[in-house]
Amino acid sequence: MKIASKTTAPLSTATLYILLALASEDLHGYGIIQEIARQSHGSYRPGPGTLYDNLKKLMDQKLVIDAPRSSRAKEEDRRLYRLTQAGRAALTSEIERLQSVVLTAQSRLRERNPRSV
Amino acid sequence: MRSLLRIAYRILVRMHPASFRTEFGEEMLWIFDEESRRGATLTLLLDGIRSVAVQHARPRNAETIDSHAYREVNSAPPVFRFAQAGLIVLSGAFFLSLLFSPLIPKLATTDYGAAGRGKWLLTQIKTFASLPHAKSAKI
Repeated sequence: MKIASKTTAPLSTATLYILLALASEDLHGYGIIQEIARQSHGSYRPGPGTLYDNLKKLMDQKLVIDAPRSSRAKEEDRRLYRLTQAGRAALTSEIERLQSVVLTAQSRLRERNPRSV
Repeated sequence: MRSLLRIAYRILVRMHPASFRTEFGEEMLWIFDEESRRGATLTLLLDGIRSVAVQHARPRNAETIDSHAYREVNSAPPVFRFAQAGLIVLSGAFFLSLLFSPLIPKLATTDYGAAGRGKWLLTQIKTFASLPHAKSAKI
């Protein structure tokens, strides 16, 4: 309940991209940065400070956790991060919010077009 | 050059609060090494500075069960310690210069005028350094 109330506010760009990067698989820090760069077509690439600052906040809110060691490959020595159910719910609600923003914006723009012509 | 920038980044990591540094410090350095190969070192340093500021500015109000039993020891080097260290180094340099001043060649009085206005400070220093010699010569 506490988590849900915290996640109603719009997420920052870095937070949104981190949650998106972790949506499909567990990743280590550098993997998250690479995935964010891939998703944003290279237009956004957070530095380690930004990444871990946001990651810490997400871990404090229990939206992201450490992946258990048993799930890691033997040669993988790095710490992996995993999206929790609460994190997935937060991401879903944010995507829905963004969708509604896009829909509203599109309808407003359609309304204004005849006036501008 | 890269090693110097790495040292600078390591210092930045050291300036983070202890809990943050312990948890993410090594990973930050690892990512710095990986990312600096792409040539984005300056961006990484700026990101590190911003991160230090954010971490120190953020209120630490996360109350945990054991927060009353344990207290975080902030071992990040504070600014006043750097200032103290700077004063100590300056004092050391001053006393060393006094110690070795007799080794500086004595300045002839005729050189004082010939040095010109541009070398006034250097002349003053040399004159000051040659004072013990002058005293011993008089005695």
